[in-house]
Amino acid sequence: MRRRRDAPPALAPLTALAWLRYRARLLRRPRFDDATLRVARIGRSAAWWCAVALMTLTGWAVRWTQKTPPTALAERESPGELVAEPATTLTPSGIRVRDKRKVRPASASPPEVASPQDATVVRAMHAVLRPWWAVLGRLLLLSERRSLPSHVAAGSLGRQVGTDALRRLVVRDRRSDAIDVEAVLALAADDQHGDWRLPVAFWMRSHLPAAARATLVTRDLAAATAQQRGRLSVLLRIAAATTDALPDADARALLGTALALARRDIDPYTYSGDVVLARALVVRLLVERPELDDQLLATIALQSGLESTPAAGPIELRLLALAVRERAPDAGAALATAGAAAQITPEQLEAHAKRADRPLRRPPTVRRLKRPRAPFARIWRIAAFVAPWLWPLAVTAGVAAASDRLGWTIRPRDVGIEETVAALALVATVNVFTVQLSAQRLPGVVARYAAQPASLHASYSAALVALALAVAPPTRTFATARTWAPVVALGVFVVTFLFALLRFQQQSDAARAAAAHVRAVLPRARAAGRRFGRLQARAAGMKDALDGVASVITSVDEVHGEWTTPLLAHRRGLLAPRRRDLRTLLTSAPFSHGMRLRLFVGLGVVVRDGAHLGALVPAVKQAVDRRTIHRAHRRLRIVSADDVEEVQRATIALIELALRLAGEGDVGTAERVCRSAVRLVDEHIAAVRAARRGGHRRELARAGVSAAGLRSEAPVAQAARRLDDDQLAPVVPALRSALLFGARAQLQPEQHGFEVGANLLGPLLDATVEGDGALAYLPFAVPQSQVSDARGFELAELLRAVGVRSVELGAAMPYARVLDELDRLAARGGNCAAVAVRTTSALAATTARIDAQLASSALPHVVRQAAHTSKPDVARRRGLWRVGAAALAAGTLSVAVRVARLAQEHGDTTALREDAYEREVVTEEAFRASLTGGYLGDRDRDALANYGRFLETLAPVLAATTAQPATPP
Amino acid sequence: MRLLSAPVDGMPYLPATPQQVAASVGALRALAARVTVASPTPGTRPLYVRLAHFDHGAFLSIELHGMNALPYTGQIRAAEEGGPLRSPAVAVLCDPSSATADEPFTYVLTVNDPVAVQVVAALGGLGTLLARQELVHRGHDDIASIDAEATLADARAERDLHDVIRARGWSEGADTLRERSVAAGRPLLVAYATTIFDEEQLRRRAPILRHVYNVVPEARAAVDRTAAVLSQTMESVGGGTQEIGAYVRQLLDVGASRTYLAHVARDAFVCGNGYLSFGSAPDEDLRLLLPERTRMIAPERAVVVKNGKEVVHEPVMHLRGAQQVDGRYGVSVLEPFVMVAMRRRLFEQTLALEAAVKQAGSAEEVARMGPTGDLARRVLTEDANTASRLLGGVSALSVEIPSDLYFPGHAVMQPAVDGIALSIVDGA
Repeated sequence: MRRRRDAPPALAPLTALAWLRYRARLLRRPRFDDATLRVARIGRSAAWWCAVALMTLTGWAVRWTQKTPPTALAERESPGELVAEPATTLTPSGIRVRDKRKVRPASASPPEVASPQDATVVRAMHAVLRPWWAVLGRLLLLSERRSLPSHVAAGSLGRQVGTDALRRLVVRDRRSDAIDVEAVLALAADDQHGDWRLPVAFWMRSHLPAAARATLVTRDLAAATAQQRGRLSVLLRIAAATTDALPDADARALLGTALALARRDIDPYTYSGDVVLARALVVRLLVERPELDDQLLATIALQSGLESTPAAGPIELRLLALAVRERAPDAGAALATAGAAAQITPEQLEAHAKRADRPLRRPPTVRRLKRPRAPFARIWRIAAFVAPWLWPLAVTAGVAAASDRLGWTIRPRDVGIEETVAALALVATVNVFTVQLSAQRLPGVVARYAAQPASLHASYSAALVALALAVAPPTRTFATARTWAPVVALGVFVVTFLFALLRFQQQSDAARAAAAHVRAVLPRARAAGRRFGRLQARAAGMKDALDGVASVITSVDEVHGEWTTPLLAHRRGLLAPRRRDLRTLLTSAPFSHGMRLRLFVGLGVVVRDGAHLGALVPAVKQAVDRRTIHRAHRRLRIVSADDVEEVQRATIALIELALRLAGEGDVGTAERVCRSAVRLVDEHIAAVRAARRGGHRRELARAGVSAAGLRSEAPVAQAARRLDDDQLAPVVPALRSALLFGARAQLQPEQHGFEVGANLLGPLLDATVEGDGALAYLPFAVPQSQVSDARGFELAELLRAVGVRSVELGAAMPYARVLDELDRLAARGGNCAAVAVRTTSALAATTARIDAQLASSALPHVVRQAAHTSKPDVARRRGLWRVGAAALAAGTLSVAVRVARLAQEHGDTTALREDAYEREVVTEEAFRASLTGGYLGDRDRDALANYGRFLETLAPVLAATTAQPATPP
Repeated sequence: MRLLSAPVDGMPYLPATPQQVAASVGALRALAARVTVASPTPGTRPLYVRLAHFDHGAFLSIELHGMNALPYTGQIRAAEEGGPLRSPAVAVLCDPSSATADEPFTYVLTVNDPVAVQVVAALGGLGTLLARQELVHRGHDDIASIDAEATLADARAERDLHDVIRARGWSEGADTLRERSVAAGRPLLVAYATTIFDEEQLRRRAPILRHVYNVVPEARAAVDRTAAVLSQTMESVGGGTQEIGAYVRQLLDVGASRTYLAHVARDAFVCGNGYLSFGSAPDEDLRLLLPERTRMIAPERAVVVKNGKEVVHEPVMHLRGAQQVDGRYGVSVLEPFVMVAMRRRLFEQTLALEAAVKQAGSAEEVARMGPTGDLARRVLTEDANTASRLLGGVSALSVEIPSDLYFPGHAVMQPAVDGIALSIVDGA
């Protein structure tokens, strides 16, 4: 108890109750799990259909009571009433008008005064019906339909729907031709019985014909300010859904009305929904009707230079920017024209262009492990190992039993010990020879598995069974079975041996041997991955926990001159101390009196035997005794890393084999071997990732149950953040080796047409996320000092691949490192600088299609690198052009504007506009783009020319004085 | 204010776990009981002090171990038009010597600090308060060196107290303080409270804190940076179809959700509590609730009192600034800047007066001004340093604050008072 009380809060154990809650949370399925969603959907659907049945019954009952006195059952609070028969009216001119509406607005005449007897009956019926309304309302609320009003109690909702046919119609989202639109709109204006704005808007959008909506909008929104709040809300919403059906004049009038509303300032402390909806309506109008741009431009031009215009520019420009990103691509023409009309500064235009950026980052595609879960995987692995040994025995026993049972009269030839020993010797001899032959051609690890197919194990098993049966003394019982069994076993041996020979023949091919090897080691690789992933997750959780413990310090290296006692690793393995071990250590007496633990090695990292793990830092008056050192060594647990290192060895062997084959010119086989290596690493790290995420979920559950005190949500949020899996974990050894060998191969002289990037590095990068550490490791796998200038292009391509994957994953840090490395490459000058500029601009252009912010961050690098080339102006101009054109083609207008600002800053705009009309230059750039990820899109030449036109349109804005340069210092 | 260098090298900002809070509360209760004068001599005016805790979430410097919170009873001094300078209507805070049992002077400690640090900080704060009272009581002729005298008195009090604590422990230090307060004729009456400010006090202080935000640029930049990080970094990542992605982006951009988030964050940091009501149609009904008019009645449900009427809002996101040990409301992280804002206004007025006198006054008037201008300049420089030192990691955030972070016309917070002054009881 003392230890629990004294333990650092981050390492404190769970109480019994918290532990139970923790286990319960682990059992609970994720919130957005498919099964959970399916069950919830079924539940909602069931509630809805029950409610529909009740509503139908209620409707019948209400009609019946309306035909039967007393008729005052329905409350007069509802604005509409259901009528059975059409009414006929004679106008003064003699025309008969038949009112066919089933639902009519409430009569303006005062309700008839019910007699006291009627009132008593009504009260009694309401008392009787109250539970009914409550059940109906509850069922409706459970169904979570979008056609339901909000802010209404279940009983009230049930009563409203039960007694008012109009509300019932809206809730059931059913169409009726004879309905009065005004009555429906009146529901939205009624704020006494819940909020009916959204249901009414949904209903009108779904069931009112476009022409009727257009008429309504044109008529009622002309005097928008005079409308009641709820009614105006619905009108603005249905107007946004009717923009394409409006005649031109009406659309222009509507735009004027909406703009008048949208220009109002929003007061965040009051209701400003009408302004927001009006802005949404303007955006929708501009998206659907680009022909209205001229009206907008006219209003923008009128406001230019006015003092009342906001600092960020007129609101119209902002709304146009939001509309532009939803429109068909126009190469930035609309925004550039509007910017010129508004006479805004380049900085303001860039801010608006950010809103117009079209690309929306999508979640990256990463391979997920779809394999049996851990216990089943283990059973499967054991079964796969045991089966070849057991099935010959089973077949022999089965056939022997059948012979005995069926009483086979044929007596086979006796099998002697000699035959069985000969069989065993044969299979052993063949095995030895095949192993030797494999070892001569294949790496040892691969050869071991290539020479051990499952059929060979079955042969061994069958030969051993036959030998055992031959040696065993005869018995009186089961004589027939005893006679047949050795023969059957020998037969099985012959068959399996033939299979084994065939397999040996097949696996003489290196690619097949590699595939067989991977098949054999995959189950263990996955298991090793799961274990490593669990350790990684635990290490991440522990690292966060230790950050809040004052008696533990982490530093990169030893602090020289400090009064410390070193702690050395006693074996090779993974540093993986447990929470309770550290708790025990840190609550021991020396630490309670001021001793501190300094760690040099990250948790979850493989350490070598004798490595410097950390040190004990005693307080001024403390001495470190041997017991404390021993305790610290024991608590800093090191677990075996043999399994992950076995996978690492296998990976290295396969890649070396592939590179050797490629060196010999057998590129086809090398590619197939490479595919096997990638599969092994891919499956291994997929298992690591799955287990790591599982571990993070467990840490989150633990943080959730132990949350207490002030700001208790912070540790939970921190644990939830880890679920994104973008925090660097120790790199998986197999992945690190594969990347290292791949990078070395890429930067070595050409391997006879073997593309390491396409066959090895590309697939490996595609299989990783930021947390796997590949993106952080690969740019530095081979130091630049070891790469010759002649291999500058290969290095640049390697960095570009890392950069593109970083963008896909939204990983800003690896992206920045790639750009820095390209800067270093450019600093070599000569051809390296030209290659670096081309690569950086191509990378930025590709990035502009995905992430505007990252693309903008690459632009200063293009400018810097161009300065190292022999023709800095041309290199810079071309580089900026590439990025600008790609950004414009992808709709990333902020990058296009930023490039324009940079071009203006460096005086490149005129030359760039001329380049855009040079056929040869355009053709060359288009060809280059098609070879480098197709960043200019399908219409590459048009994209390049469009950027020249964009610069022309933007010229008035760029000519304005810029407050700050586009290039950050 | 207690800005001490960290007593433990590399001491992190520890989470305030229930054990930590319980230990801190127990220690300060014991300290309050020990330092309080049980039976003050009749005729002496006691110093009413309340100790309390807060957790500022590392918005402020982790070297800030304690701060003063002067009581405010809602008193507003009317604007003065006469004289060379016009003085606006100002909120008048109570001087510690004029604090009462109902409105005591509050000394707030950081609950995340180790308990030993809290005890030392609390004793140091009380010692400084007593030293200042002795200084005021003693009187001084040379107004120009008042800042140096105050610093000297603080340093002496702290050194004396630390000597006692180091030699004989904190309980002896508390006894020394108690006896010193009796000798000075200002017996200490110290209590501990788990709540720094109740609902009514928070309501009263909101206009003062908005003024602090408006006039202290360091605090304002820190709040704006934090609001920008909390609101502008929200990004939508597409899943499903492009249409869904476009809808979500329109919802965020047209509805100005990010701007609302920035406002609610600013309210939380400045006023202590920010409320964002989503309403029944979140794309239309999104709005903020004024902190001083809002009362939480259930999780995600608040009542706003306006013109005597109560309106219920649901769902409501309640964001808190600094947290109190007890109570559902937060307190402002700008509380330590109240004194800075008050002094800044006072000495800026002094400088303006000096300039006016030098320009149009007679030689006698210039001579009467004396070196007060130098004093004002020294204090303003010192205050600028203090304001920077008070801020934690947020001051180092490298964030570009967009020009449209807040809605047009709302860059300055309103309703706010026009200035802060200190009421000093005659004869104190």
